[in-house]
Amino acid sequence: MSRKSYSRHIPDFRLVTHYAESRRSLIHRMNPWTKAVLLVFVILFVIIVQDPYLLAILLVATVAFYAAARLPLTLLLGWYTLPVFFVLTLAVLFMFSEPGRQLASFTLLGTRIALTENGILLVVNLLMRALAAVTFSLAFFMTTRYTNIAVIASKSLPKPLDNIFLLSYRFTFETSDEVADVLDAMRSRSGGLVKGVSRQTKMFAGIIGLAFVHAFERAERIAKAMEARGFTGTFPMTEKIPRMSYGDFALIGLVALALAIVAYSRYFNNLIGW
Amino acid sequence: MESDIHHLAGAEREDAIVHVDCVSHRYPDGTEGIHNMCFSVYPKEIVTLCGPNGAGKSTLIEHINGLMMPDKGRIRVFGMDIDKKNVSAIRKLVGLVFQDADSQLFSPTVMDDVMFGPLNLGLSVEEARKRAEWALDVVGMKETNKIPHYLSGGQKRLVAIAGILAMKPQILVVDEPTGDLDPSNAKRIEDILRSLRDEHGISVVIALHDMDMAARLADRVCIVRGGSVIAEGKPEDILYDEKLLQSAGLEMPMVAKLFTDLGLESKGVKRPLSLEQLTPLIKK
Amino acid sequence: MAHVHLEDGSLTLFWVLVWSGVAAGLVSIALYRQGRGQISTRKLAIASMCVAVGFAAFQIEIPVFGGVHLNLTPLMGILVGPALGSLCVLTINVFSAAIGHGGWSMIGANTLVNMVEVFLGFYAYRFLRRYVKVERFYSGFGAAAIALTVSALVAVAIVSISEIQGSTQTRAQTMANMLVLAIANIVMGLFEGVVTGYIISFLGKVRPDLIGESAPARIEGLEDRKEVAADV
Repeated sequence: MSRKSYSRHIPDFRLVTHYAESRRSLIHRMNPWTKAVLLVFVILFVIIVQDPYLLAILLVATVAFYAAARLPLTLLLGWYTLPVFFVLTLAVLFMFSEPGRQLASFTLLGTRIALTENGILLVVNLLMRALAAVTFSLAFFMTTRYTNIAVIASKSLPKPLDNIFLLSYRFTFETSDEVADVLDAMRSRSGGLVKGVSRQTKMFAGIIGLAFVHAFERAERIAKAMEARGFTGTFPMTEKIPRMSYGDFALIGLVALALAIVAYSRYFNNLIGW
Repeated sequence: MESDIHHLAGAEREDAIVHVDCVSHRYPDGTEGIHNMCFSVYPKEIVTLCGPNGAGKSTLIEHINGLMMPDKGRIRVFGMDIDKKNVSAIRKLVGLVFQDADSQLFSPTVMDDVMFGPLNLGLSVEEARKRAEWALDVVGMKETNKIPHYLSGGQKRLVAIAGILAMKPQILVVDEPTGDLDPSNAKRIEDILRSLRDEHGISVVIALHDMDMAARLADRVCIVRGGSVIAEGKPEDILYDEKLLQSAGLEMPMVAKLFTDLGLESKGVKRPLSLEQLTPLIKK
Repeated sequence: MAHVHLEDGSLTLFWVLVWSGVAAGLVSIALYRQGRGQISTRKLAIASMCVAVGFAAFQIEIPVFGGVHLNLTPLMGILVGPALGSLCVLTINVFSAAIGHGGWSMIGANTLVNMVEVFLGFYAYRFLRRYVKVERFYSGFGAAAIALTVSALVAVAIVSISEIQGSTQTRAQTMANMLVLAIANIVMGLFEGVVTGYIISFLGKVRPDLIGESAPARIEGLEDRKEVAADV
């Protein structure tokens, strides 16, 4: 089976799971519920905080959290590609039409296009928000074992979404390998020599179609295997997550307090000088 | 020898623990999966279902476990007729290991996967874990915290067997247990199946088309063709009947071919079923 | 996956809650349609596989026009129906958010957009195939193209109504910017329509039962794809 990732720019769940299952840093040993709650708080911070300096601190904090888990930073940098790409795709339109003090301008097809201070700030803020959220999210999944994610999913998602999530997570290993293998097989025979949009498109459509056929057939076999072993609709959980400690509650309390201050400052009374 | 070969017409020893009584099943597209299938399993035996691809072996074994229901006929397991109401009770008694091990490993770790069955049976987490540890020990699988995806083919097969064993079935049904395995893993699986019969008293039904394996393992051989069992008997009778085997699209096991081609057959000489049994005869 | 292509923090808390609430409401309807939270083991396995394949395939870059990614959501709608398809796209959006392809707070908005694709993909395909009697390739193409065009406009509407957090542009200006993206998405949607058409043609030859046509599969329980797409 293929083990390599499609690309160093796209996070691979197999690699994510490998780090979660094989490492034992302080962050790995943190209570999974604590990390899940912190993830929610980070998302809320990212949405609520407006000040660019605070956003920068948030980003640094999430990267520090990631680094404290002894996870590779070069991998993270590669995986920033997607969120950066998405932010820039959008921002490139907005940053040239944002009102504010002009920094540079040019004429395009008779229209004046201006790059403004607000435009740049918008892009920078959006980037910091996106990267902080992505960093913490990846750190969470790369430090939490699958069995614990299974417990969290089963307790936080309604049926049958929890089961779909759990089984899908497992299946992504198989399908990622299968798709990667098929791509390897294709590349090894065509070696990039296939010409023409039509032929290329047909070929890839064939790969995807075949992947779906295999997936359906495998799903039917798996359903039979599950039923043959007495499955009745609920995945039995074999692990329990221990209760959060006082330290976990204290940490969550502190972060919640900071979030409350930030939220109050934004929506009610400006406590922190926004 | 002909007298030991039964063309099944509903004959049943009293101690049969599974009796498939003239069962037919037609698939939705009209293909007949099995037709007037008569088959039995007896206590503490290894019985092989031998036939080429498409003969109906997999269809039959899925009926025994209650995954499929017959259109005609009935199936009795430990005296119970299989129907939709008692199918979960049947699955406690009859464990089924599929040909594709990948399709059976769907939990995050080996231990979780083997515990899946016992937990579904209602055992507590602790009891299920003990069962799983026992089953993994029986198959000799030590890497219990590994993610199943990263196991070798042989290891996946062992874990799949352990997953069923942990449910403590009385009958283990296995579909092509060594199909894609290397020789050492294949031998390991064979030894495990033998020990299940000898040490744990479990009856084993094996669907296969590897006649050499059938010769080594089986107490009884059933030849499947066109959705029915066309012959059954002792391996030294069935597996030496070249015409019968060829009519079912099968070949004689290598040891039988060598024995007959070397002209070693004579009165009083027991027909060998393995190379270990053949070698002394050649040396003589 | 068709996205509004926004990461966390792009919308204000109010609009995150609004779109999440709307999506939650529609997902609840989908869950109800699936039997009040109970689905058969077979449907569970198929839905999970669809998610896994959709998630895997979406990471493939097709080397045409400089590299494009597919959504496959209209195809999913055709294969598993709108209710189960909705649950699939929600799950895919959760996985995507986990790896930074769209924000966690954008799951609601993204799921809304994808549900439009799944829904329209299913119904447009059925309409074209059964009533207009168009052959498979063109039915697949048409269904995907319609679904992705409408969803691109839905995405424009969502972002225009919500406005980008931190931007001081008016809604009209935001809409104008988003329309540029929508045009790009619509063009991509036409390409995906072609891919979907080819996939449907392929499936029609290999496993017509998967697209609800002719000979059901020779596999127990798959005698009627309606069992999977019994959402209508």
